[in-house]
Amino acid sequence: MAGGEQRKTVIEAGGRNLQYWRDLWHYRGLAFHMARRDFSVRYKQTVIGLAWSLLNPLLNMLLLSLVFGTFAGFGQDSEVPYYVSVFAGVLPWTLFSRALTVASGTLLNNAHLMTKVYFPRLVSPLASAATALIDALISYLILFLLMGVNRYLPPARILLSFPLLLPIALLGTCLGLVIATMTVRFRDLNNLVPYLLQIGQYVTPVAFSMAELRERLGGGHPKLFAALYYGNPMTGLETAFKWAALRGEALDGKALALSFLWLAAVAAFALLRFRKVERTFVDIV
Amino acid sequence: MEPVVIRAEGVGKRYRISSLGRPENALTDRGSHALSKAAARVQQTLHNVIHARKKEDFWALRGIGLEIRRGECVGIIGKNGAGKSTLLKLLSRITEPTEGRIELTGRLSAMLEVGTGFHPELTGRENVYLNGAILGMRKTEIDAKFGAILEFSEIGKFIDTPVKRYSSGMFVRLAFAVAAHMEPDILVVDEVLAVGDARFQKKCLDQMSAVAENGCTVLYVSHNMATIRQMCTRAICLKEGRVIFDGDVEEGIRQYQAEGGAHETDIDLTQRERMDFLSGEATMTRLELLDTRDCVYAYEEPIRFRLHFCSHTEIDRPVTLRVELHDSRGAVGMSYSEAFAPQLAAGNHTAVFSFAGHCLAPGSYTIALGLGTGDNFGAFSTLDCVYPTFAFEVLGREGPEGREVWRANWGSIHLPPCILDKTGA
Repeated sequence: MAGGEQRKTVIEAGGRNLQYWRDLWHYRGLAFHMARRDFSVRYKQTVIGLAWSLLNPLLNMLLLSLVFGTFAGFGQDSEVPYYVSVFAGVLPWTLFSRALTVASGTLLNNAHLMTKVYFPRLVSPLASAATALIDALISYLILFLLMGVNRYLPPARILLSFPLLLPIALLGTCLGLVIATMTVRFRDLNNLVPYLLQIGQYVTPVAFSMAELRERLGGGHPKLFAALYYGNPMTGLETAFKWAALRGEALDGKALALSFLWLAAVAAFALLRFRKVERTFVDIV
Repeated sequence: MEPVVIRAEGVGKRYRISSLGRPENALTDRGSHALSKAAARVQQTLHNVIHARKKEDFWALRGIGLEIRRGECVGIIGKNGAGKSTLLKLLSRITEPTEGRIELTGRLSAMLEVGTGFHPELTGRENVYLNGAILGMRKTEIDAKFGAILEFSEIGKFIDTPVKRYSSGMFVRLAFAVAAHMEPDILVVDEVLAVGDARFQKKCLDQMSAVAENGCTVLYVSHNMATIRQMCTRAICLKEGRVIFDGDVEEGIRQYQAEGGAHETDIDLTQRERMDFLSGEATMTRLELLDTRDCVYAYEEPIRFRLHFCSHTEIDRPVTLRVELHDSRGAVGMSYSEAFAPQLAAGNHTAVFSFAGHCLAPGSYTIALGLGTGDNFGAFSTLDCVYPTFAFEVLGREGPEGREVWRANWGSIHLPPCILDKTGA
């Protein structure tokens, strides 16, 4: 009890960053327990349990296949059935949007906890991101099932898609954190998140590839294309994921590099903002 | 001398309160039309954004300097709004101070609420681990103490049942059991003991005392002076965000109680909350406490008050006043006036009463007044009552040695003296 590691904690306005990261490490167990809580709560008292986390990407796949494939005629010349390639796009997008959603609600949804006990506030969005990551891994089962049913052998580089999940989850989390810091003062922003993600799903190469889109546009709307290419942080990561998971897709190194630049910028901004807001947000909620 | 484990220097915490001007009136004046309300809200928000700098500052704490040594058990007392909770929030790092600096040595755990983060769907066991992690315990630590926690909580075989099926008593016991086994270097407790039955409360207090005896430093906030007396070795009294006293427990409690000012002597009863079973034939409207400025009474001094009440119809039964006396632990006693009016005409009335509190031990009390008809032999029917109606303080008897000391655990009634019948050889 007394004795042992008698570490000093300094509490003052502005705080100490080193101390914060040390605490974050100390509370890693809490992140684990929070993630586990989210899982066990989700699967207790639900009849189809696990299936819930799969249903969402499946329905999305159906919708996008209908809109882009059947209505707009995308993906006519791909060697894999179009809906399989759409699912390969939906999987990372679902991870991104889940990570973003939970991170954006982290301060308000956990306010009851955060007004009563201290822990580095980053623990909670990180735990949620971990849950989203595990959901994504479960979705791979569906992807492999769909591929198997169509006797499609994915390229060996599909293994590269696993490490890609990390920056995708991180990007979603960081964007979510930026929103979280704003929702403390303007709660209504939370209602916007589903709409933004809905839009994002259609302007990100989830159900199409950028190459195919460029071809379709035939050089028209160059500004629109550039906006989607340079202005959407998810473009490069989506493209890279589909390249890894499917044969015949090309790797766009420039787009991927752009995504990582975006990630670095968003992460830096998110951390600065979040650290600033988390110090005293309890006074406002 | 033990080393200092908490050192605070010039600590202050400022809150911003928005002082809302014109647009607020607009919000209420425009009637109930939903659209105009929404418009007003938008206008309000814009106003707030534009005039963000015109917010008023409110210092919940200012210039707090403290040194607390290892093993001390410090009671923090003060009226509501004195800054007690803010101080605990700063110490437990829930929010940051606006100015100043606090240095803590060792691990600090805070119990500002029992069962923080408990999830109803999870079992008792799962919640123990989750709650432990929230309180900053490592898994190995919880593993090691799980048996002790289970035993302390008396949950037994229900540990693997979802917490939502627990009785509230079981829930609280389990939650406190986790918190009580944290073994931090500094423990911060905010009145969480106001839960559970009396036996469990005592068990919690004993556990906290045991923790303190093990060299843990305890900071304890409470309005319950009895537990402060029982546990603490030092008292810090806060008032309006500043330390007004720091030292001996009895003296601190006296300071806190003598602060007086908060005791009203002219009380408007019309806006107070009421039970819904009242007949509504008469309403108490105002209470004036006579012969006192601060509701602090000397020992055996009668409490005189003038009650204003309004009878809405003619009441043709004799009307009586009931006086219920409470202390911090609950009801102390009850008293009835004689039927002071055989019947009441509709309209406003006043009556002056004198309540002889001459068996009341020194301490703080509240009184609830009830107007009713009938008698106290089971036929009392209540016209109006307000819980509690007013608060007062009784001081100890003055003797040649100074003011009489009365321990809270002796009860609140000074019984009549024991009479000597005869002495033997």
